Amino acid sequence: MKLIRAEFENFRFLRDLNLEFSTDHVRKLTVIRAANESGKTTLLHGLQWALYGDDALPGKGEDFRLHPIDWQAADGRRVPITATVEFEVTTMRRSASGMREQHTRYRLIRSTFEEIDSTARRPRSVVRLFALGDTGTTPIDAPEALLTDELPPELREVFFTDGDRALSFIEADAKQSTKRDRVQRAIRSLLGLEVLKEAIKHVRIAAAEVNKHARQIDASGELNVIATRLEAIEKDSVEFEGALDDAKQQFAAFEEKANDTEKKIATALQRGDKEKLRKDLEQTKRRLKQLDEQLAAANKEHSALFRSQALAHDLLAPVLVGAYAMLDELREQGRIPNTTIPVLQDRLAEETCICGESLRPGTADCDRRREHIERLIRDSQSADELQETITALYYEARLQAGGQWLADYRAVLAKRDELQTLRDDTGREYRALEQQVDAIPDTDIQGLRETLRGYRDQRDRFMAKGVTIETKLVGLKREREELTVKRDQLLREQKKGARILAELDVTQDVIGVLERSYEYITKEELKKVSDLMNAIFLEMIGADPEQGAIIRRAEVSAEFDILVYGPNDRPLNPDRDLNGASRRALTLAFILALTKVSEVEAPNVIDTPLGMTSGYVKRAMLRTAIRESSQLVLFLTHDEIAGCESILDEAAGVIITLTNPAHYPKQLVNDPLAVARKALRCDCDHRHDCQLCLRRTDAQVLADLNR
Amino acid sequence: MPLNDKKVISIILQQCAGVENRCEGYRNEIINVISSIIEYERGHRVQATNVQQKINDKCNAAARFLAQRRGPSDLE
Repeated sequence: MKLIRAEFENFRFLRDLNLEFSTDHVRKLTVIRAANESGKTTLLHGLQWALYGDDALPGKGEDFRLHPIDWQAADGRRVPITATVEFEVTTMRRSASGMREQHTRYRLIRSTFEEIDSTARRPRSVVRLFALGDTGTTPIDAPEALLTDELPPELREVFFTDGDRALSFIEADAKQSTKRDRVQRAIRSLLGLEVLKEAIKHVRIAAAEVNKHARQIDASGELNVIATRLEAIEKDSVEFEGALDDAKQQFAAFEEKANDTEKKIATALQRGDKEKLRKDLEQTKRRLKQLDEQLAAANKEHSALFRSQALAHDLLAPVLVGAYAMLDELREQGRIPNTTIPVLQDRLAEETCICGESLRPGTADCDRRREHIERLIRDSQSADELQETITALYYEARLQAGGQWLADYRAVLAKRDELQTLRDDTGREYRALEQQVDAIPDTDIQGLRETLRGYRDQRDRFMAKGVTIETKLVGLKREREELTVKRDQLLREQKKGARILAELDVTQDVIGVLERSYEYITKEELKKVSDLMNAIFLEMIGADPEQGAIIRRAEVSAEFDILVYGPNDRPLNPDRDLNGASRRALTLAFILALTKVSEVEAPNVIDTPLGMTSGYVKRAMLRTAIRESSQLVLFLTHDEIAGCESILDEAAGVIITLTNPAHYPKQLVNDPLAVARKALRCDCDHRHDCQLCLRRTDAQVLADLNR
Repeated sequence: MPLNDKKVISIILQQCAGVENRCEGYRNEIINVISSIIEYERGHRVQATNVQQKINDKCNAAARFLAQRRGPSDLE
């Protein structure tokens, strides 16, 4: 397919714009030169909308206004929006003299309208397609079918690429399976694998029909039994192949899920195990509480010291020295301890005096003695309180060594200070743990581990299932081969067998060719895409593996993953280990290699492909893209063009400049006098400017040159 | 045109070299059948057709050719 021309009416900033594309085989490059905000991306959206429909608009067209933002109600409340694209399709047709190319031109018109109310709702767009022949214009019925065939949606990003996000095949945000699916779908579609697969399916059905006929010609004999079994084998094989595909897909899906979960666990563990941290936090909190209690007790002990006798004793020590001397004296006098009363009471009870005389009533001088002793008891009792205090003082004074309180005070203070330090340390530890816990997102690592176990179980189950099915298929294949030989032998013996045998031979031969072609494309052509992508990529980024470049090679794996390798074949992550220019180059290299290997004549329309690049890489990317494309349409800013002028001199067949009139007077030298805000076209190329497109920076450069 | 007929057919022709030439002209007949099948499939993608019937008929025609060349005695 080749783009010939495009026309837009009221498509956002493209109010009325006509473009032609270069269809020259040598000068195959079309350049749309436009500064930022001059309609490049709108043009890309416009082309995609025209060719792929509403779903190709950003966000599938949801809340995506199409009419010009400054549309005046005076011009009508209903805004008609139209995109027209003319293109040429080349098909191969069989003719008496063999295969020959047939070129057909089409005009596609997609239209819709929007009411300029706040919601700007619009009906789904309508597409009309016309074949343009020498004899006139022929409308094509069901144009969507032809367009889907010529421009499958899965190839939209291959043919129409936004350079700023030309990463859909390698982008980090997409899951591995999504990226793989995009690559696989693009490859399968461009290399014709889908058509071959469908053809194999239909010829197999035809073969099954023939086998049915074989059964019918010998309704009760061995041939019938064998043909019936072959039919069952065919049915089982189809079923098992489907189940095997499913098992493989499920295996891959669970494998990917398990890998993702493993990564999540690793990431979470790297940040810290939140559960473990929470437990540590609880433990620290308990320790804090214990320390607070101990500290409170130490404080009490501390304050109790100031109420103790020891403090009084130590404070009064100089005065007490005299008192102690007196107490010692009293003891020596036998007045301490105070034991008189009990001794005297004992004597009275025993009725014998200390001197040995009898105190028994009625004996001589008993009354006098008893009365004397009782008086002594009474006297002692009156001095008892004083006596007791003195006794206590004496004994306590003996116990209290000098300076004891100070020693106690130091011990209590040291203990309290030690506890306070421990408490402060534990408090800091608690705060740090709290901050760590807060910093970690809520990841249930235990839950993730259980999920991982579940995924692995599922993965292993599907792997086992796949192996079982494969074994069954091998058995069925062997049985089919044996039965086919027998059946063909029996058919030869039948009267009508020769014809059925011929039908079986034909279908088996056709299936064989189709299957071998399918396998060849899958293996050989995929390898060609991979090798060419590698060559283009390395050329674009100027990496020479022989000269010790970091990026050594890139490949499309058998599993349809785009992989990049560094020194020692160490894998590099394309979306993380490559810089912006290299990522862009890798995506473009894949797109160009795929288009080239498929030998499909299709345009590569790329918006700002050289952004983030400069110098050698910029020029190499441009030169390689031109060489590997059959038709290349690039939307370039002035900065992207800078330094690449000589390449454009050689390769560009059409160069058009788009200008935004709103850039006057800040960026444009002259007032374009445009009534409405819209992209204005002029035919200035990369080396020229006109009154319309002359930009301030350019004018300054010219002025400098003239000076 | 995402599918390059020319490319696919060139690969098919390459693979047809491995087909047993069961009778004179048989290999060409198979090439013809497969080319037609690819064309039917392409057409079927654009506009739903009875592709199965077309393929069955094409295979039948090739089988008739083969059977005739092998010996017309036991043909219906």
